[in-house]
Formats: sequence, C-alpha cells, structure tokens
Amino acid sequence: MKLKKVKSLMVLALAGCMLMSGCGQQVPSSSGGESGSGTQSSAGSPEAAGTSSGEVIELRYYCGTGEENLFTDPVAQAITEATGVKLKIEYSISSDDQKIALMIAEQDYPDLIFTDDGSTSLVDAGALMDMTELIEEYGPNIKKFYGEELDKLKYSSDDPSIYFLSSYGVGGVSYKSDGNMQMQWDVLKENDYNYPKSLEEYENMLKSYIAEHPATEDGLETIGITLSAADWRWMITLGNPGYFITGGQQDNGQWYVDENYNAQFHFFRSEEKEYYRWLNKMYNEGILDNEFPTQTHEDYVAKIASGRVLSIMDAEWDYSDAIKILKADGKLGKTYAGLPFTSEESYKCASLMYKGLITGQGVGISTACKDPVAAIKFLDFFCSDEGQVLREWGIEGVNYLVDDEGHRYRTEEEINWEATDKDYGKKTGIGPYIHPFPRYGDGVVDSTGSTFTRRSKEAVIAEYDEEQRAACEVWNVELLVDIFPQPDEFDTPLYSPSWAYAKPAEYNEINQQLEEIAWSGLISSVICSSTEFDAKYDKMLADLEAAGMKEAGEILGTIIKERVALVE
Amino acid sequence: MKVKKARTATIQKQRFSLKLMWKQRYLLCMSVPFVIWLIIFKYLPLWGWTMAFQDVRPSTFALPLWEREFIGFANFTKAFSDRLFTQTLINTLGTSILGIALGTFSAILFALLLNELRFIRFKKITQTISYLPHFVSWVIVASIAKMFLNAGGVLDTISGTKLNLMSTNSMLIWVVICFVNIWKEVGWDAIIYLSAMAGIDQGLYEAAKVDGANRFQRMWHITLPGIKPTAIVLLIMSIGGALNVGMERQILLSNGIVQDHTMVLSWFAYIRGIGNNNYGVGTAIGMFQSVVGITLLLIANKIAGWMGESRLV
Amino acid sequence: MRSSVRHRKNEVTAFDFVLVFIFLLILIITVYPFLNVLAISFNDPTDTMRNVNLIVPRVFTLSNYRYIFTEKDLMSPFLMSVARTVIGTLTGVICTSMVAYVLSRKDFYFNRFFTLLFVITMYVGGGLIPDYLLITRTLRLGNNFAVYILPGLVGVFNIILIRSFMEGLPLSLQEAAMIDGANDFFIWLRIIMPLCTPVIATVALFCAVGAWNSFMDTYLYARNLPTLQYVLYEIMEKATIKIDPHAVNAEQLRNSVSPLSVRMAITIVATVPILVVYPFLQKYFVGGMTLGAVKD
Repeated sequence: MKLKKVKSLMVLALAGCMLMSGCGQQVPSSSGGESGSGTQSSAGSPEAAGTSSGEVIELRYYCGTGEENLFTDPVAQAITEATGVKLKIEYSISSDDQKIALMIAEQDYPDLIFTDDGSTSLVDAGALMDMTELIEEYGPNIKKFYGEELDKLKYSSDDPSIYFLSSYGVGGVSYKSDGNMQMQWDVLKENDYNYPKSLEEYENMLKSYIAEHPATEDGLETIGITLSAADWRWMITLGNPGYFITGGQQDNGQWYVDENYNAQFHFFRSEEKEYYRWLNKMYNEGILDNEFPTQTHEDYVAKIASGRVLSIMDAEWDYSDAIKILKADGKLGKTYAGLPFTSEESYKCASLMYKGLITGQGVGISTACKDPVAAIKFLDFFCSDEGQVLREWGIEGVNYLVDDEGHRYRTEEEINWEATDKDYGKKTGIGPYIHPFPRYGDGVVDSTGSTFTRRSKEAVIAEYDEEQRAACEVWNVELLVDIFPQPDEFDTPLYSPSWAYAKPAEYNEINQQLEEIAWSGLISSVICSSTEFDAKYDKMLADLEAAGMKEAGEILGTIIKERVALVE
Repeated sequence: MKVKKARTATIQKQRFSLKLMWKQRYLLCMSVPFVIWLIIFKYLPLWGWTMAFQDVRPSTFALPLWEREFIGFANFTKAFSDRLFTQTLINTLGTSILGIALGTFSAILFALLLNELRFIRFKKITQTISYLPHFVSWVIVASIAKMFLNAGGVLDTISGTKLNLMSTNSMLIWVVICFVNIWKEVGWDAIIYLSAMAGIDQGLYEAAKVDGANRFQRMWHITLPGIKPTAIVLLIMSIGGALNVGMERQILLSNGIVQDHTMVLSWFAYIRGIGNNNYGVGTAIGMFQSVVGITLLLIANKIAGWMGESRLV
Repeated sequence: MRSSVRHRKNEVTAFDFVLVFIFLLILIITVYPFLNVLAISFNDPTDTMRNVNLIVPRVFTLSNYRYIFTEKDLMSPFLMSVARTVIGTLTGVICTSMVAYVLSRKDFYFNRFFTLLFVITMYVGGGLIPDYLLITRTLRLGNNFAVYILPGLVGVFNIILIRSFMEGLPLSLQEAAMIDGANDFFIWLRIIMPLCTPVIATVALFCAVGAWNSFMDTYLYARNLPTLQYVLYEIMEKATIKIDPHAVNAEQLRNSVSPLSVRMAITIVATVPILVVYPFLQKYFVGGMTLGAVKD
C-alpha cells in the first residue's frame, strides 16, 4: 500500500466519521411516532373530555406487544378530537427484549404503559401511579365500566392501589369455543355426531375410525392424536387438558386451588394421574403420535394441514394456519369441532364458565406522566360507550351504519374488506386500539341493543361453514357452543384466574423450576412403557415437592385469599 | 525438514527508563490511545459486577450503588445450590470440550484439504459455498437440523431405523449439537486457517518437492507447522471461552426430552437472572463464567509456553 | 534449477480426485440449508406450511419479497449499513493492525501487560445495563453515528490473529529497516502491512460481516439511524406472532404473513450483499502468495 493512499484513506475515514456524527442528529426517524407539539394543557380542569385550551397534548405510550403506529388513522383522529390527546406509540421489537429493564435503569418512563409481563417489576420500581383517586374524580366511565369488579383491579391487600386497568374483556359470553378437545367432523359423522363422553368412548371412536381409514386419500397414515409439546406449548396441549378434562374449572395455570385455598400443582389430583395413564396407553398403542415430544411446531401444523390427524387438544389460534389450508383444499370434513369433552360424565367442561375479570395486566399511568389528569380522562373516554364503539366499529357512516331500530350493522363490503385486507386495521384504525385497553367482552349490549364488539351471535352463525351448520341441525342448536355447559351452570369464582396475577419474586423463582420439572416429567411419563408409568409419574410428583412446591403454593394461596377479601 | 522461526529467541527483560520510553515512543503512540479506549469501553462497565454482590431487583435497580443491599456471596450460593447447577456445569463443559476439539480438528482438516485442492476455480467456488451456512441464522439452521434428525425425520427415513438422535436424554445430544455447529461453521472457521496457510512461504514447498517429499509429507511438515502458531493461539482463546458456550443453539435444539442435557451456563444465567428479574444472580453467574474462563485461559497459556509453543500472552 | 522445472509440472494424482469427490459431498451438504432457505423464500407461504422440506419452490411467488420491500423503505437503511460497514471496517482494520503490530514487538516494554489487558476483555463483560448506561448517559452517543464505529473499533480476537501472523514474518526485514533508521510507524505501515495481506483480508472480512449483520446496537442506541439489518429484524418480528398462551382475543393473528417465509426472504436479502462482495476478498487467501522479498 502506498503511504499516500493509506493516508488519504484514513483522512477519508475520519472525515466520514465526522460527517456522519454531524448528520446523526438530523437523519429523520423511520421508526417510532412523529414528535407532535408537546404543549401542556392546563391540567386540573374537570371537564368530561378534552382539554380546556383545546390544544392537543401528546402522551408517550409504551405497548409491549405492538406495532408501529403513527396514530394518524381515522379512528385515532376521532380519539384525539374527543380527548385532546395524541398518542406517541412506542413498542418493543421482540418478545424477550429488556425494554422494561432498560426503562427502569434509565428511569425513563413513558406516560402510559401497557405492562404485559413486566407488571411486577414496574410496580416494584415505583414506576406506576396509583389511579384510585384519579378514577374517583375523573373516571366516571371507568367506574361504570368495571362496576362491581373494580375492586379486582387492586394490586394486593398490602397495597390496594390500582396501578393498571385490565387488558381483558369485561363480561361477555363466548360464542365460540375450542372446548377441551377437538375432533374432526368426519370422525364425528361416522359416529352419528355422538361425541365421546368418557375416555373409553373417545378411545374407541378413534380406534374404529383408524381401523376403517388407516390412511388418508393422499396415502398418509392416519394419526389418532397429536400434540405440540416441544416448547412452551406443552402447557396448552399437554398440561391444561389433564386439568380441564378431569373437571377442573378455574384457570390457575398449573395449580389446583381447593376451597380452603390450598394450592398444589394440579398433577397431584388422582383423576389426572389416571388421565395421563390413559395418555401413556394411547402412546404405547400408537394412537398418540409418537413424534409428539420432538416435532417442531411447523411439523405439527403440517400434519394437521394434511388432514391426517383425527383429534387434537389445542387453542384455535395455535393451529389456525392449518385450518386455512384445509379449507383452501376443500377438506372441510377434516376441520375440527371443539367439544366439551370430559373424562367422565359427571365432570363439567368449564370452557364457557365466566372466570371473572382477568387482572394483572393492563394499561397504567406512570409516575413520570406530567399530566395524569389528561391521561385518566383519555382512559376514561375509552371506557365510555362512545369510546368502545369507536374502537370496535369505527366511524358512523363510514365503517358502519345504523338501522331504523338503532342497531349497528356493517355492510358486506366492509366485512369483506376486513377479511381480505391485512392492512384493514392500519387503514381504518379499527382493531389497533382495542387490546390492551379496557373493552367489553362479546355479547355485551349497549343501550341500543347492539353489541359493543363486532362479534354477535348472528355474525357468528352467519360465518358457519357447511360442516358446522350440519352439526347444528343434527344437535338441534343455534350455536355450536350450545352443547356446552352454559355459563349459568357455574358459580362465578370469587377470584379471577391467578395465572395473570403479578406475583412476588420468591414465588416466580420456584414456579419456574416447577414448570421445568412438570414439563419433562409429564413427557417422560407419557412416553415410557406402561409398567414404568407409575414410577415416573410419582417421581415427578416427588421432584415437584422437593423443589419447594409447598412454599410456592402457600404464597399463591395467600395471594388468592387476599384477593377474595378485597372483593368481599 | 523443519523450519524454525527465529522469533523464539528470548527477550531480555528491559529496565524501565525514560530513555526507553522515548525510544519506544512510536510504539506507545500507536497503542496507548487504544488502551484508553479499552479502559473506557471494556473496563469501566465492569462496575456492573457489583450487582453480583447485591440484591438487585427492579425495585432497587435505580438506586445508586451504595444504597443497595449488600449480600456478599449470597447470589453465588443461590446459583451454585440451584437444582440445575451441577448438571448445567457438566453440560457446559461437555459441550465445550467436544466443540473445541472437534471444531478445531474439522476446521483445520477442512482448510488443509481445501488448500490442497488443485483446481483453482472449483476451490474458490467450494470455499465460497462452504461458509454460506454461517450466514443462515441459528433459528433456520436449527429447524432444518430438527427436520433431519428428529424421530421420523429425513435421516431416520434414509437409514431405515429409529436413530432417536434428538430424543435420547443423554450426552448424545451434545454430539448432535456439536455436529450441527460444525456443519454450520466449519467453512467460516476454516477461513482463518486458510489465510494462515496463504502466508506460508511457497518457496518451502518448492524446496520440499525438490527434496522428494510427497503430498502428505509436505502437508505434515510444512503446512501444519506453518499454521501451528495460529492454531495454538486460537485454541487457547477457545479454552478461555469454555464456559461461555452460547445459548442460542442450545435453546433452539432443545426439546422436552433432552432438556436435562442442553441447559448451559449462559442459558441458565438468563432464566435465573433476567428471567426472574434477579439481576444479582444473573450477574453473579456471568462473573463466575468470566473468572473461571480467564483462569483456564491463563493455565492454557502457561502450558503452551512450557511446551515451547507460541503463547497468547 | 533444472530439476525444479521438471517437478513444477504438477501431475494430477488420484488424491486430487478423491479431494474433489469429498468436497462435492461437502458442497451438497452445506449448500442444502441455503437452497432450502432460498426455495422457501420464493415459495407461497401457505404451500410452505404443508411441508417445509423443499429445495425448489413448489409454488413460485414473489410475495414474500414484495412484503419486505413494501413494508418499509429499505434504501436509506441500506445506505446506512453500507456506510457503517465501510467506515467501520476501514477504521477497525487500521486500528486493530496497529495495536497488533505493537503487541507483536517483543521488545516493547509494556507488551505482556498490554496484551493481558486486551485479552482479559474477551472474557469479561459488565452486562447489558452498564454498557447501555455508559453509551447513552456517560458518553452521550445515543443516535450518533459514532456509536457504530467507536464501541467496536478494536476486536481483541482480530488483534491476536494479526499479531500471530506478524510474528510469523521474519525478523530480518524489520531489523534491516531499523538499521536504516526507519521509525516504528513507518515499519508498520510500509513493511509489515503489505506482507500481511491474507490476514488483513480475513480481518477485514470479519469486521465487515460483523458490522453488516449487527442490529442490536441500532436497537439499543441508534433507532434514528436504522441499518438494513435492523429494519429487516423489525419486519421479521412484526410478522412473527407473539402469542400469549391465554390470549382470548386473536384478532391480530387473522391476516398474518407466514413468519417462516418472511424470515427466509429476509435471510436472503441480508446475505446477498456479502456474497457479492466476498469474491473480491477471496483472492487474498485462496491460492497462496509468494513472499518474493524474503530470502531466509
């Protein structure tokens, strides 16, 4: 290298650096929101909506799982008009990033935060503001919205502040359900639409169908049951069914909590041990897919999409891709019916049971917010009827119409647009502002008798395909879920599902280990030979106890007791 | 025919004097700025190590150092007595040793063979293609690997038996992970050795040919010794990093059956540390890795020195 | 020498063909994942879901690429990536080799001490939080282009590589120059560096690839200066479904683009520039070099 050349290269590099450093500040941002005019409104004026000076203030809002959103769509603009607030939305890129940790380290909090799973950290760090008084004074709609369940939003008995609202639906019914187990329509039809009411019946249905149809039309071997258990999904496909199929009701994650608030991992229930014994038998007889512990999720979906899997135990959003393919291939008979399956008739499937308002996650106001009143009024607007309709239905006359009786309805065009355009939400603003802000569940109606959400009974029925309609006829019901035990058959539990609660670190540390043990323990119990089953299963139980389950269980039990006390 | 480098002569230990500093002023100017850089960017952040001795949670995070609760070695004992710790340590060491040994061996072998390839164009194409997997992210490589190695996967189908490569809860999974890693990285790792081989004086080969040495003798006596310094140095550095063996590939290649043997220290630190919002424990484990790593490094370095090889430090 | 002329004919032996055969095998094995990625990226996402094992697209489509290119503007991030790669590599190579030279001089008084200082940093780290605070609070490099250059200026691994190489060069050269009165800087620049082409090319490659592929620093420190990798990562994460195991409202999922297909297309887009550049560097370390200047 000639010296001159090197020197000039170096000078170039230096110059480049300086140039870029200078440029650094002026390069426009291509991610994140625009910086609006951040003028302060006169805080403290008790108006129902909007700020007294009529100026728009900007609130920084961090949403853990979100998308880039400049808050400029029609619905957003309507929101700004009504509340005087424009949101600058920040979001995290990946699910396991440490944005929350960095936020705390930097002490740089946005005005509104959706806590997702960082709620404990944020509360511990003192990042969130207690909204109780704000709600009292400025949040009439919030109070009305939550009604009796408002107390469930309190954090704990030691600290009954309300740090965040709930991100889950209030009230409402489910018009659709996956039930405890899903079975292909073709299999049901062979059995004259009788669905199994016991493990034995279930087994026999599968076996007789396999005997008749050992392979699909494409020559692929029929599989009785398959599960996706190679990662965290084991909780849904392997853990939960054991609980719900044997009559479990309140959703406490991996725990079973009895009337005296004693908590144990639900695998200790003897009914469940029998369920897993049965599963082990299925595995050894080849009815349960032998590849289930190692197959990737893609393989799992591909199997379902090929139509060869007779039944699964999963949540619809986990395999919906496969359903799309089946429908595209015209194999409706290979799609699945969600069934209220239980291992014995005396058990009730709790899928439709109203489990109470889910708390523990939601939008909160941070202590760094300079204008909490504007913030609470903003949230209050979201809880008002107007706010609900705006976010769900859009703008009247544009996205929906009102008929003579005052009911809301959408045109076919609109419905089609939503179904086919993946950017529908971005363009209209319908969708992005629903979760995680406060919202009603399906089926709750307003004063006009229209539902708040776009999902109404009629809409659901209208969307049924051939198979589903045929089943409704045979079973003589309007909705498929009518065959399920209905909500009024259950008592509302005194506490909401505990899996969502913010829990102390000591509990979390133990729980993490318990889940690790349960996962590998369950798998090894299911895949071993039937003679080894008892030994393996009992070992898992012993390991769970050795890892401190009692301690964690006590913590959980205490928390639940406190929550019950808060509400009573 | 051995070629000895003149460099292994011992250097007299010089006495410090200003005159010496002046004499070496150019060397100083060329290095001191970067030492400063080093201190700023690498040594200053080490204050974070104090977190290992404190109880650090989100609630106490924002407090300045001296106000946090000092708990001595409690974080360390907590980590060491964890149910999974011993197995994790074993897994880490096992995977590391296997990885270092097989990885180095295969990279050198690959480079060696590639170097011998006569057809230049084929050689270039092969080399370019061989490092492509390096750029494919682990996420994708892992899913392809699983496709091949899972029960019922491609390998099972081809070989007609159930190999259970991914479903045996034993050290086998270390071997599997190691081979997948080699598959992904050997082309890339070989680049270093190739460039070292390119620096070998071609005249040596000519002279050897004249002396009647055949292909293999030339490889054994010229090429290998030629890259020995590089190889040793790389080996020492790898040993230093033995406990740091990454977590991405372990997480991706793990499943419910084999997880007992795939958990490694870095992953462990992650789930027990950040995963539990317990930064103190996470930092403690990280510190443990660093301290042990450096110790191993220094030991390996000394051994290399005794053996007459080039040392790292 | 006359005998050497005879030997220079380089007869092709059986061993050569064995080699070719071995490498063909290796080629097939290593190119397979890449072909798979390429195929999936050009394959219709729904079809891919039926079966992920493909080498040739079954249902050809450009939709995955279209999705990437229309989601965000890729041009300015691309330029930003080029800028940081070129500048970063230049500065990195120069600085690293300078330090490497100093550390290769056994007569340097602080040699062992400095080497130790550098090497230790390969195995220690304060963690994410202290690094973050250092860069954003103490040095105020947030959203400043320098944050792409400064923190990664010197790679210790690369220093060691270059140093090893330099140590393999005959001392006589340097001694001759020193006798002639040349200073250390001159020796480094005009004598040693030209001889280090293979290792410099290697380190340049490492620096360039490292700079090109990194997105974490953009994510943490420089969101206003997005690089190509960062934008691609954003697109990919957006397309990937984040699932809350208890999610009741699955609205977001309804119209997703298959994340797998997008991921594959992104891999291709991110890697192609490197493949394009690589052949230019390759000549430096494949094929060998003759050090004509040295008579040992």
